[in-house]
Amino acid sequence: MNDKSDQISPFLVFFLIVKIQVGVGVLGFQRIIIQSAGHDAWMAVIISGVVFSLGIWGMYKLLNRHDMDLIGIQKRLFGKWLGGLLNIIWILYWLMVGISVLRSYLEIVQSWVFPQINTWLVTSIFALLIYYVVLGGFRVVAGFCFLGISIPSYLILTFYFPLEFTHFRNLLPIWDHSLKDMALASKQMSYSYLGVSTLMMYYPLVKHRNSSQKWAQLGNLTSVFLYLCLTILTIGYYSEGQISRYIWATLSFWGIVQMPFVERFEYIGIATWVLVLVPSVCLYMWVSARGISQYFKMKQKTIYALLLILLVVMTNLIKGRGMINQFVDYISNLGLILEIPYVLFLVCLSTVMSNKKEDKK
Amino acid sequence: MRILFAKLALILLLISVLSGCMGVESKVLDEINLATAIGYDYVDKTHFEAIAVTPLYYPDKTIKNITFSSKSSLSKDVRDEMNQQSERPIFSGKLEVVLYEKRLAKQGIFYLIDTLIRDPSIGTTLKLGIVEGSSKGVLSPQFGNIDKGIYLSNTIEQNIKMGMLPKTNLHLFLYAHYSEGMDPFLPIVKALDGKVYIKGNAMFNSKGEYVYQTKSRENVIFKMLYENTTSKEGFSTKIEGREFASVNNIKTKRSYKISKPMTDTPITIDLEIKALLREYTGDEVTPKMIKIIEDKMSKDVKERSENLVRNFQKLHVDPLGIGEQVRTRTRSWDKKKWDEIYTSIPINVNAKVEILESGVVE
Repeated sequence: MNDKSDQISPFLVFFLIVKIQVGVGVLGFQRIIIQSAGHDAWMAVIISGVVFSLGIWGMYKLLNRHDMDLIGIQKRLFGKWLGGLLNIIWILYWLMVGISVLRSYLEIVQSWVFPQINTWLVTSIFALLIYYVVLGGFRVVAGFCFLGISIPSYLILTFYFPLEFTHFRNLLPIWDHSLKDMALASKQMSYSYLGVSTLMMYYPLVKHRNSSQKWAQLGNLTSVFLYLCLTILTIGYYSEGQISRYIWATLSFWGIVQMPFVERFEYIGIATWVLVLVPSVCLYMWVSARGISQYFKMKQKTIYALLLILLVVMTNLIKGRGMINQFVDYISNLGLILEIPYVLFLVCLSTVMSNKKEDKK
Repeated sequence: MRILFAKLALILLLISVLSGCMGVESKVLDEINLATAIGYDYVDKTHFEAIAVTPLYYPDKTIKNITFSSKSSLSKDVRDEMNQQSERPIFSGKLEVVLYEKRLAKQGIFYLIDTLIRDPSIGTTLKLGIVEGSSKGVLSPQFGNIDKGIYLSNTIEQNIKMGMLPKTNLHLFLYAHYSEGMDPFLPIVKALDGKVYIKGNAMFNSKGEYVYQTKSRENVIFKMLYENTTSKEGFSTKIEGREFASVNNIKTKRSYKISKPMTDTPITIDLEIKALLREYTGDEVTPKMIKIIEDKMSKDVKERSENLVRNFQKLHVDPLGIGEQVRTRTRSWDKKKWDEIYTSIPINVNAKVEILESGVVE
């Protein structure tokens, strides 16, 4: 199954990690963490970033020991039935995250650009595009993720515009919030970093995988840096009462952009964001399909077709901000349990079990 | 061949579907009216009259401004009614300036600003302003061959860059309104023979109600106290009897000294002003004379600044953001306590004027 031609270079892990962490969440994560930790929110960004670094370390520990993907590891550790159940939970989780990413993006399109857009049609077109990409195999998905970072990266330049109106004094006094506030904000910040668990599925397809951890860690660090810059800029640019009113603070930055040839930059930004988001959805779909294909003897094409039909239907069934928020909350809470504590639990369990085996020998 | 046909069919399907059923309305520039300025006038306690100006470009390069007006208590209702008067739908995507009449501002304008934040097609570089007289008087006269909204916005922009207006736009207004230790302000404009005249700054209290208008001599002082600036405009001081000196091209730097925040200990604002001597009605300008002018000016600026700040304290408005300065120096800041002590804290201003050049003559 894993022939050489299907493998990717280890440095692409960097792009895959950044890609999955920097998605739709970037556009509006600030409000939530600033509501909990105020002008100290930037510390929460670092704290949860460190936690995810630890998570990635745990994943590599696990993957390097077993040298197979998560589906196989869970089967080995928990047996056929319990392992199967846990695998289904993981696959469903990835699928749902993919759906929530697309749905959140559509919500932005609906409230900023085209309020009356026909969501069935748009999601179908997206589904066709995703189908086309995932059928190309993992190398194409990884390449697409690479483009999904390099092309939209020009958007970083636009954050020069709000700088003129930034009051960095707002960061003072440092550490003015209780530990409880910081813990809450760190937890909320972790939602933005979710998705690194996909690593556990494409791990077998990475060349020199044992030593690719540095790329994954570097990817995580880059995401932390990006989020940190945005948070500091947000704290300086908005006053605390103001930020609680903006659902998409990053998008609202672009309200201040003034260029002679473009009146509203948000439209360009939102259009560019397609390139940020489609690769993540592709990766999530690819990961779920890979999980499913180990249980059902079906053609890849059929699996993808079914998944994408589910994607289109689910995206359209979830309507309105309240429902979208609730859905995203459920998924991210599940993700938070699965990606950090559960993975670390797996690491402990696998260590204990392999020690026992050695004892028996 | 069959695959090719399938692909072609798909493309055809997509094209037909993309344009028709996407629910994406196209807004062709020639088929819509883009409002560039909107004014709100006071009618009675619950109603206002809105005036929108849209430019009409003629083939011979003349621009005519068309105004629409309507009375209501909700501004999107107003737009519906204006659409009923217009041959083409009106959109707010190119809005440059929004004006509010003074009487309206006295009741608070925040409920009218809500629609500007909620609408994603309006940017935050939008200029807000308060009108003395009616906004109809400012917006309806045709002035030259220029779009009224852009004309107004350029006038304000020019006065920010060169003149006595501090930086102002929708974002900064909201920033100040929502921050805990700061109150917003807006420029005041007045109609003057079809032109506009920027009179000063309108101060708002924390509820968003207009309470005070700066006098002409206070404008420069306010700008210097509000931000570090470089400005072409200057100020003049009486030196002795009929001797006056005035400076321009000033560069100011202000810094706060708050030794014990949230107590009655005085707050000191240091103002460093570097300027060029522009006019002096006395005799020769000698180094000794410059020293005297500098001292006189420093004293004058100090007095005027302290008066202005005391005025703000009396009215319980804080457009300078002194509260913000205190907040960023205090742990577990208590807004209520600050509101109580703000009016009674002694605030001193130390001004230091330095004249760098005295023109091309001695």
